[in-house]
Amino acid sequence: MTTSVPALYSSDNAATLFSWLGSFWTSMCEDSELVRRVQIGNGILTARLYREFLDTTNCSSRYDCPVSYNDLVMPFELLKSARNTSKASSIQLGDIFTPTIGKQTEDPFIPGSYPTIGGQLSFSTITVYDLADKISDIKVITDSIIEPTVILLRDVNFFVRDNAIFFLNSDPFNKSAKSKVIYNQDGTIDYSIMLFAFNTLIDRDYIYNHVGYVVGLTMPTSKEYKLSANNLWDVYNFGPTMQKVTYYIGAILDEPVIKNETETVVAIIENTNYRQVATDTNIYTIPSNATLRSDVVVNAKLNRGAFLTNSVKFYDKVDYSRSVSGTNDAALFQLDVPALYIPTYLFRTTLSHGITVNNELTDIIHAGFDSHSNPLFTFKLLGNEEDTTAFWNDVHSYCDSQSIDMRTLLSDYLDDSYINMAGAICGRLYPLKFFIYNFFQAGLCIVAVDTSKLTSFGAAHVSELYKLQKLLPAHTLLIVINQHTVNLDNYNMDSSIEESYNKLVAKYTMDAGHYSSFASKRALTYKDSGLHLKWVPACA
Amino acid sequence: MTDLSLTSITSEDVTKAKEILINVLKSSEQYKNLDLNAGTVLHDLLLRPSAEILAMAINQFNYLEETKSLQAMVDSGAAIPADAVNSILSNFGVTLYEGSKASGQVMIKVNADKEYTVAANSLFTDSSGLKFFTTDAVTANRRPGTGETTLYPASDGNFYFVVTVIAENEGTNYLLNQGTRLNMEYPMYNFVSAEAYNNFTGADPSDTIQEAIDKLPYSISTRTLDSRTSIRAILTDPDFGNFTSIQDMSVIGAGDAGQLRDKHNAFGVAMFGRVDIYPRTFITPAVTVLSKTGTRIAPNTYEFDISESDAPGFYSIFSITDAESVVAPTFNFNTLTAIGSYRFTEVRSAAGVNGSGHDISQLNELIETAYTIYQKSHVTVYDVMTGAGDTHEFKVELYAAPDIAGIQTYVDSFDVKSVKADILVRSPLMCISGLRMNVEASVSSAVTVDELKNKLADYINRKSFVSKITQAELVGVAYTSDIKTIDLSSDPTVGFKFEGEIRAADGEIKHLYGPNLIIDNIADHNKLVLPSTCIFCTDINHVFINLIKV
Repeated sequence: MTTSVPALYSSDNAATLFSWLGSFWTSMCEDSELVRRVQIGNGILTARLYREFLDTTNCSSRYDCPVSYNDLVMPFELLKSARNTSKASSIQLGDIFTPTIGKQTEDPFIPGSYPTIGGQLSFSTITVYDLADKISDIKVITDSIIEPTVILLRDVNFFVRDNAIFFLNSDPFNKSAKSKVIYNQDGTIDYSIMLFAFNTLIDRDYIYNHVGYVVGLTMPTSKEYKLSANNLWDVYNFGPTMQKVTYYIGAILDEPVIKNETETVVAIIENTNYRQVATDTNIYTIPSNATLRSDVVVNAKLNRGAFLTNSVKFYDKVDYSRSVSGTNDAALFQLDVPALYIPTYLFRTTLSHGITVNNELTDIIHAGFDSHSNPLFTFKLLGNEEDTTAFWNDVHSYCDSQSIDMRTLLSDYLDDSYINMAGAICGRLYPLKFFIYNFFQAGLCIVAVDTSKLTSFGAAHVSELYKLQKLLPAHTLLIVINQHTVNLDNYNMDSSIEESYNKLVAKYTMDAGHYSSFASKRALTYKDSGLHLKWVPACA
Repeated sequence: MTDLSLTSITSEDVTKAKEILINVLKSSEQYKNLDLNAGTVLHDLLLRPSAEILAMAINQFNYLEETKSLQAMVDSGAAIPADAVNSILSNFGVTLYEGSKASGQVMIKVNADKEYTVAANSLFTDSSGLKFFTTDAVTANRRPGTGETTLYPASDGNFYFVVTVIAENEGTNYLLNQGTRLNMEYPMYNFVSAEAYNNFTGADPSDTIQEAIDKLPYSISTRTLDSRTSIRAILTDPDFGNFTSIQDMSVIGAGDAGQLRDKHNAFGVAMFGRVDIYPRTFITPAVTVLSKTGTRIAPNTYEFDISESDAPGFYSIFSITDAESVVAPTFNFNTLTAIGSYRFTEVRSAAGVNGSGHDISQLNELIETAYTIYQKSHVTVYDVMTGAGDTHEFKVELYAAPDIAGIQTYVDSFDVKSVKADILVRSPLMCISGLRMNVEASVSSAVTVDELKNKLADYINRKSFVSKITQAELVGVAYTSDIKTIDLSSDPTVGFKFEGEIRAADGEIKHLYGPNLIIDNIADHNKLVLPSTCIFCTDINHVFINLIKV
């Protein structure tokens, strides 16, 4: 394509462009500085327009779809009367400020006050104003676009959350002399100040409106949401291949997955809050408390689709003795799946609650004889006694009616010789292993997740793994095993020592959210909402 | 495209742009006291035009971005032209479903035993001028050959035969009731009369945008008989199964309650590998009419069989009447059958299972073949007070989902079926529902009974594979019309009444009633009664609205 303006006649330099305006404007307007400033202003407006154009264009592609609209320069007005009148926001665990248990002694909270369960937390040094639109972030705020006298930096002077801006150290009305008086109709006087936000991220629901709604994935806008929605779309598009399914699991749990055919680990970098694994082609960031897989070491070659940590394991094939896809350690699988609850509808007979099978060596007990004088057997299953009895009654009556000798069903597990009478121990087996080998192996896949070692995004979206169920082959069953590493937090009631919150996002899947709804327990709120977290004192 | 002009932009948008210009100008010490208020030359000739042009351009981009997303369209609340919706849907290979035409059967009476021919596209009209056309040419006589129709003797000395017609246009106003008198544009020789032989069905309204959105996941899915999503995708894709009748579908596979066929082992534990699909191939309940010759087995008692090919996968018998009967049966709140039907019993059994390739246990054949093409029925009809003939002609109206046989044949076909796949197609279990509402509206309201009946019936008929329909939902639907109050009392004569019946796979009738119909309350996975196997449906004639204008 040829451009309409030859290179010789184009420039991205404002001063050059201005000089090219030539005599036209100087003859029309003697004040060249005024013209220059008008043109600069128009230039900024044009740049904003161009951003809009880019976003509109990029929304055509689910891969290029922007996460948020980035407004280059956004003027916004604060009213002094609106100070600290915004709706309740939330303090997220891991924030710059978190309250301590007990009496507050320092800023930013009101010193001397006590936070109470269900109460409100008041800040002493923070002023809050509502923001228009769905502004999710601002990098810099000034009082003027050119030659500002006040420059505020994100996380140093302010932060943005829940459509409100929190000024950390002082009210902008105290810093800028550019406030103007407003005379309200009711006779009151107010003050307003015009500020300019640079690189403002505005959430326009691009991801939901262009990607998420198609695949039915709804969550707050974030780059993780974009990746998850795209990876889920890929599973729809390409079918449930190992690669696409693994990528979706990694995305929705915010757990890095090796992207290329093979990657070599070149460094493992430890930080206070996170850990990074650098390969020859990518750098992956993982939570600092996650445990790296044993084979993730410097110089190791990692294959595409491999997880870097033990926080997430995808068992495409369920096998108790051999190494399986997604992990290099069969013993790990036994640790991940120590027992399996089998719901009622996986049984032919009607049960009330279902049955659990574990992996403890269990005796096979002689249970008498059927009408063909064939011996009947049982072994210990966990669950309601009525259910386990109903299960064995069904097995026995089926074998009897179909003339099936139970010895043929359990031949691998019966002793060579045993006393052929009711109550005798006739052999041993591992019930879980028995059920997996004989029934579930062909159609079961398992995702084991340690939510305590995921990022807050990952932990909050474990339930979204079940979106895979309808995309996997209909004759296969996906089971998600949600693990949690619990750290006992003993609290001495007599102690005057203040304890700060630990990061605690969600302990259980049900805490992390429900199918197609958001988590309800991710944040500690103040103002009009009760606290979402509970402290349960434990006696040492 | 919508005309976006200066009037489309908000003052806030303009102000925002203007503030940037003002700030750039005033940030210089030289211009800090410059008067840039409205009315000044600089403001009116420089600042405002620039700001307005920018705001308008941004507005246009935003509109463009919005019209790339169906969801954004829905959220905007604006009226969206169908072509804008279809232009997005075209990227997914989908078009907005524009509804379907009503169809039904017409009984033509003639006064002589001759051979009669009705050409295709022959026109019938009702008293209001609605037009219906025959779908095929029909030749009728007393001894029909292949492809011909039987001419039956009528009790009044005339003769009659039945032809199928389809409405001229989409719309529920074409849903004629049984017995409606029709005019034939060019009556044939010996013509006596024509009337609707059954309640007309199939006039489905067009999709809403939300309903189109719900179909998008299937449009982006692979087309294979593999996952729960891709199975629906391959069946509905025009380049594959092309079963356009499918409105919704439930796939019961591994780990799903109601999958009984994967437990055929001594331990009775699921081994997976079996899949049952329940396609909803209709919106309003689809009724198939059969002509059956009953054999007398006792005084006033006759029997006949409904074979597996008569109405493949049929769900239940709605009514059994005399063959020439055109009495519109009314919904009975307390039974699945219609008032006006003969009393009957039926015994179902398996048919054609051997060699089918499907894993169906002999020990549980009745349940596992229920509502599939592998079921047949033996029917006994009682209290037939029409003489002592050895045989008697019956008209049998069945609730039968269309295309069950076609879909089963497709998923079993050599070029589509996956190796080792065992997919059985089953008609969804229909919760045949009836509703009564007493509604008050102001005298100035334009609301009509038909409007309310159509809305409520359509709402019920769109509920598939969900656990319940609540009174609150129905009230919400009714209130989208201009009404004032609804009597929600349980008064036996004027109060809110909502009932439904489900025929379980073993033939047991499960009755739902109360303000909410909750399938979970009667769920029984061993009899295939589950939210994931059941759909709600109603005939518009089963919705009783008493509208009082006050």
